[in-house]
Amino acid sequence: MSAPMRRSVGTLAKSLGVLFVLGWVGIPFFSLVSVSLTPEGAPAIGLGLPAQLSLTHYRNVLSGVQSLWLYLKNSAIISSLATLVALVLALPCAYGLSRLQRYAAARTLYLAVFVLRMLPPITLIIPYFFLIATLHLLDSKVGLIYALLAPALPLAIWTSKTFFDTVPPTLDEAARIDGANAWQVFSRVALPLVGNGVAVTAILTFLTVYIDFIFALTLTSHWALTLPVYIAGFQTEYRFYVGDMLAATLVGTLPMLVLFFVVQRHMRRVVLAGVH
Amino acid sequence: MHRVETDAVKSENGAVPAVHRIAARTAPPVARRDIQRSWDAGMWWFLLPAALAVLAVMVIPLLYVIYLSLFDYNIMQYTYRFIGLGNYAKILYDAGFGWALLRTWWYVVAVVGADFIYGFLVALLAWKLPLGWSKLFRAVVILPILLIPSAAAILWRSVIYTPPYAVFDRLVGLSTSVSLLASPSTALWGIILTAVWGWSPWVFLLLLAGLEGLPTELLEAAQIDGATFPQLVWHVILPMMKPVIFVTLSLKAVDSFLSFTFPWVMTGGGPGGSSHLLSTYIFERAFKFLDYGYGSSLGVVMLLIAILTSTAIIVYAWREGYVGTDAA
Amino acid sequence: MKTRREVLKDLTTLTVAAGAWGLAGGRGLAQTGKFPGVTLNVLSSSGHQQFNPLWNKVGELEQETGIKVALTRVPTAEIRQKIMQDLVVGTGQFDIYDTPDDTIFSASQYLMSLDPYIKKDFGSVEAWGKYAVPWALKAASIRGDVRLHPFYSGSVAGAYREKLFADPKNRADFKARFGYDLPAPPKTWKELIDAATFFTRQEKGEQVWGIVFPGKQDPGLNVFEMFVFEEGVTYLDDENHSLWGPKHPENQGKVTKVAELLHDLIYKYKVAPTTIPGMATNESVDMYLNDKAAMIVDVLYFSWDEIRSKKVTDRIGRSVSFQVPSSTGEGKGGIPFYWMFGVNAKCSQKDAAWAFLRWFMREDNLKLTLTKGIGVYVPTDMRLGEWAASENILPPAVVAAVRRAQVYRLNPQIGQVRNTVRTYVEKLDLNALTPAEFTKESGNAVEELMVRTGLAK
Repeated sequence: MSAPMRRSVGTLAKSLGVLFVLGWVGIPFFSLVSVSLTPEGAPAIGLGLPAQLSLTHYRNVLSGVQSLWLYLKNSAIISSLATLVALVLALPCAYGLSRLQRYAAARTLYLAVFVLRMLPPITLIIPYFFLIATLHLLDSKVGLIYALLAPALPLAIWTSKTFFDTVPPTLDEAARIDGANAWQVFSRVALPLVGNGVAVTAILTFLTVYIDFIFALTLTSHWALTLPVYIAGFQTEYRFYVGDMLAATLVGTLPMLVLFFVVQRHMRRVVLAGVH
Repeated sequence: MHRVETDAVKSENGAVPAVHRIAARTAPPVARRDIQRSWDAGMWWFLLPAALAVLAVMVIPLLYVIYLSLFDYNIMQYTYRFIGLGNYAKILYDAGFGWALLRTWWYVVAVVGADFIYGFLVALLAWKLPLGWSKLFRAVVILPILLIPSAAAILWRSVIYTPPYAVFDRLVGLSTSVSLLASPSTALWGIILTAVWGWSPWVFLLLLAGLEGLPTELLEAAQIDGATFPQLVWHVILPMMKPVIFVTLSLKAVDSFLSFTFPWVMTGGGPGGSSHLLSTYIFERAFKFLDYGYGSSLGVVMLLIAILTSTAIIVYAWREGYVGTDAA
Repeated sequence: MKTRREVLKDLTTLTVAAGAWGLAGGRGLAQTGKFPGVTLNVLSSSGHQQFNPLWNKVGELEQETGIKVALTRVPTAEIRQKIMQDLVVGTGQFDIYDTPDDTIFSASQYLMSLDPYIKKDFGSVEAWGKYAVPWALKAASIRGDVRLHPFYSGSVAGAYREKLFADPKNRADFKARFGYDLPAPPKTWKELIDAATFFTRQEKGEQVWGIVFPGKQDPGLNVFEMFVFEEGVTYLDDENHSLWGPKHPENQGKVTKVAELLHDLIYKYKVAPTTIPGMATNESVDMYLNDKAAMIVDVLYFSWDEIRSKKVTDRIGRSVSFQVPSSTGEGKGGIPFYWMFGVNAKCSQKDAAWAFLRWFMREDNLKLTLTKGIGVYVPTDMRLGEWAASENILPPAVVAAVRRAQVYRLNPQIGQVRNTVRTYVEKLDLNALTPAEFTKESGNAVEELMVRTGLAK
């Protein structure tokens, strides 16, 4: 094929690709918005906008017995606190693992963290249910945060360790020789230098616990119920509540939008960190 | 003799923090080994809080689930008695579990494969688009992950698949009274499609980052040598991206193996148990049939499978050099 | 670039904002009324949308008495487990349970006796239960004393499209083809099959079915139960043996015929869609409302308000309800579904719980749910039921079915019995079992369950 022909084929392929992606992503989202604005009792359209738009579903989920405020609040608080706790535990640990790499034991522990990350949540949930129930912490934020450490902690350790690896140990040594103790080296030398990495770890961890479904489903019922479970809880065999469900979905997406907006500049580092 | 890489510690505006400047100026020769070792001894303490947390959050619960698995503890049948390995023997005859296991492996292969194809092709596309369009394009591609997984599952379950909206049916040309999720032969496919829609943007992001990290000189050299784009991709890009691809896909594979939200929300394992994955099957046993003892034993088996698989992945990655130790 | 401090600040702001939201949106503790600061945790089914207007009104209860109601709703398919788990494991997450019929026996041993409160407010249990449907009272006092407060019942019924059945051309064509008048409503199986066959056709390229019914989960089971009960076969005999298990071969023929009817409607006569195994009530009603089926057999009361609404009747005309036909036309009575409120025996706010029940069951509150709720139900209070029927709020066939219903034997495992049979019904609807296999396997499974749990000698 000649070069100009190749270029046209290339352009055609690119255009088709872009169109496909636009459809692939766009159509479901369009349906989401369209159905959430369909008034009660109107015939189901599918692809297209309803004849009349109505905000009833949004009213239903923003007020009254089905409203989402409590669950949105729960999600925000629980995810933030779980991330915080995970960071507090993980950062020193990751620092330690980074600095002790010369020892085989530490290297093995680090790889063990990878295995921990793959513990099936369902295997943990059965004992969690009983342990948390015994402590009278069912349907409480504390109980759920405890459970969420299982996915959060290994992720935080694994991710932040690679950032600590970028800080040369010679800086530590220099500070030590100057008389700093280990904790001071950690908090005054290493930690400030990985500020970006901490942000990235925090974001990844927050995302992981925010979208959690299985732990919240089993361990909460009302007071600590989170948004993902609330959205899926509209499920029922007797009537369609699709409009309400989707209105809740859209509203529940807003925090994610905010989060993504806030972190968009970190996106590339977040992603690369996720690889490790 | 002693060098401090101040470049590495520059903050964004190019200045070097005071602590490090001082350290650099007064840095003595490298510490002696015995001092080093005494420093290291202190470092182990840093691991303690996390280790205690792991003990409390993982070790103790796992011991407890193993303990529970030795009992016939079923609320619906009011049983609570010790039966040793009886539950495990029961697993051998559990056809449902066997099918769930096979289905889960199949699900992993299908989802990871589709994620990779979509993620890689779209990443190439985003990489090759002119810069302004590329940013917009990327924003569109990642939209599905803004919808939290349970919400995406609900959207596809209630609107895309199910009559009367049946967007999928309308697009593909099927009658709108047919639901992909209602038939045992297609229910799993419906879930796979949704999972790919919801999670592939992550694969896209990771692969795109990998693409952008490729050394441009090599690529330019190859193009000067007359390679066409497909040849470039196949012979140059893919081999160079092997580590990134391996890590991305193995993470995705493990996530898919453990997958719960999509199958549970979309079909609950039905119809007739034809879309049960391991997680949903065990969940149903433990929390729907309230058979905690047997559910625990199933969970332990799944745990063993997960540990074996992840260890295998790590060993393979180690051998291939994907997971280095970055040892000093 | 954001430093760690700035990100922490963002997180803190988010959390603070979320907290402020929550506090602003929440209600302060009511300090007036008999029960200041009391919160009752109520577990109800998210399928009971009839009571939404009442749940939205709990603010009034709080103002009058200080009681705050924290409502948790789970799908019907999950509520039995949630109730039993909470009571048996003793997690005590809830004070009040909206308990379904098949869980009443097992749950009642963990529930508080309502007798003292009934006697105080009404004088005697008889006075209190004077207007309740008899079988409801019986179930509520299964342990001797009253452990639950009945209020809700329903049953399965059919409905047909008046426009289609009254149309003169249809009537003429039917008579020409089948030799008798189009039965409106069908009273026997033959009439049902013939009518369904007649109305199954292609219309403008779309398939229209003669009949639709649900095959998934509870609704699927309910349809089977209705037909088999009308044939005179319930679940357990007085010794807790399966009424179509090895001890009762005489019933197996009847059960197989019922299984055949449901199975053949889909696969032999092809008058019902093959998507039935994946359809619960909402899907089957939706098919009916969208003009894709001439008849429906389902738990119609959930959608009756929609079915008789102007929007729907403008589109597809009126629907007439009919009782589920039996093989011969002389049914023995169907299965009743009922829910009752029970109070956790370990509840620390027993008086408040009773006050809540009294408030909930107040006539004007229940009338509110019947008129403004999404869907209806048949109140176990017969006076209310008559009022609703006279206002055309309830489908007459469901009310009649509830009155005629057969009480079936309750024991601690009846929930598990129905659970077990449900999986077989789903398989039957999926064509994964022949009707004969269905009878044999489900009968054996139930018998084995009864023997294994020591209930059957």
